[in-house]
Amino acid sequence: MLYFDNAATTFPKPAAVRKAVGESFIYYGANPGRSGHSLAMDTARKVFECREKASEFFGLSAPENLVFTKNCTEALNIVLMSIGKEGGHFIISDLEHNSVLRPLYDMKNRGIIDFSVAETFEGEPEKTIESYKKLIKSDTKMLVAAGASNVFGIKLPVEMLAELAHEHGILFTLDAAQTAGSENIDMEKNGIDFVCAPGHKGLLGPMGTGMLASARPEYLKPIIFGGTGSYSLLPNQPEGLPEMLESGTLNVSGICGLSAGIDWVSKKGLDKISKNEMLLAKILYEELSKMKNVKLFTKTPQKESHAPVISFVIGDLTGEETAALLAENGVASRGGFHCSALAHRKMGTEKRGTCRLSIGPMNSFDEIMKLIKIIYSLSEK
Amino acid sequence: MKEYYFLLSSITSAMKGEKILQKSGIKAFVFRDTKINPYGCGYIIRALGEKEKMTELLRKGGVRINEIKER
Repeated sequence: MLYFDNAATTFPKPAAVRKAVGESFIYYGANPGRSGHSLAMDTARKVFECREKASEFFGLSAPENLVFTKNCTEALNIVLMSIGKEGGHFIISDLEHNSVLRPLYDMKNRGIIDFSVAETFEGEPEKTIESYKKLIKSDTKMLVAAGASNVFGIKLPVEMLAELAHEHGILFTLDAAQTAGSENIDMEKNGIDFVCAPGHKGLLGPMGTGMLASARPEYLKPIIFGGTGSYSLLPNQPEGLPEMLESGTLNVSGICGLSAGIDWVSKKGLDKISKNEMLLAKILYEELSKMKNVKLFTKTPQKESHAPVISFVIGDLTGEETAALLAENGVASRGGFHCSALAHRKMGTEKRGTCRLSIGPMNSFDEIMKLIKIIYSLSEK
Repeated sequence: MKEYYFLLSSITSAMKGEKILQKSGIKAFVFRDTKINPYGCGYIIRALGEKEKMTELLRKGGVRINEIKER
């Protein structure tokens, strides 16, 4: 199979990740933070090692402010619900995923908050900033932006948005679902208040892993309550990160795999990973653009303005039909609406959907050439 | 030199504290106890050294200490 569904989850995972997950059942099989025996302590140390590694990866000096979640969606929900709990106004982009839109939509419907959607401009960061700026109100609490659209790969000007937010005394949250593991994210340097990231995409960990990195932990509130392994006699949820937000047993095997994934990415280097992915994306885009029955929706991908994600359709087919045709020919892609109603509406694809090809760190030049041949032959039928 | 118990709010604080002290050459290890810790389930760093120095190292490292007890 040719795997080009890396925006959903990366595949295959490096051998080191598979090994770390397997070994976790032997060496780290007890529940960390619950008992005092040696296996539980070893497991707790292993979890802390990954916490330190991940916090350093995002430029966060305090490892306790790195919370493990089950995915990026959970991390986003924690942030949005914490900040939105007492009302206020949020601004998101017109490329945001449902994991940002839906919690806000729910809170708006319940009369708790209000939010606005800022228009974005592909490859024109200043215009995107201006668009956010115009929507800022006296009660705006937070700007939210995806590092890159999960459907069209269009990047948003993260550093400039963080700067804009802070100029107005507003918090800034980055949805790093498509950029963690290929873009350098330095929270302290870039002024990002919250980074929500999956562990199983660019960071190559197992599915079921995610993270919330927080430079402003004082704003966070739990959305799940329960056992933390501390203050067990008290009925109230203990304060303080990360335990306050990590009730229940952690996904230790996933965390062990994630730790190995971060090592793999760090050793390979973000720049090298990104350069390779973008080179492949550019070749793919250029070849697709020459095919008369293929419709593309964005400009030629460039590193500064795009992630390696390309949406297209063949002839009059819908996105789902295009993806199904590719699947019949051994290509893994994703068709439909990609949990991103806003992005599809913006690009005028809300009826047909698109077929998304997303390139990951394991894809090769050979695979891209095979993919191009397959799409060419399908588009000529 | 005496032995001290640093009562902490969480396993993460304990892990962080243990590492900080060990990096400074102080013998320290984490254990779990419900008798010494009055809050019900908690982690304690048992460390051998000067109380003021160890406390300062932990506080500088951002480790929240609930209580310090001499062994």
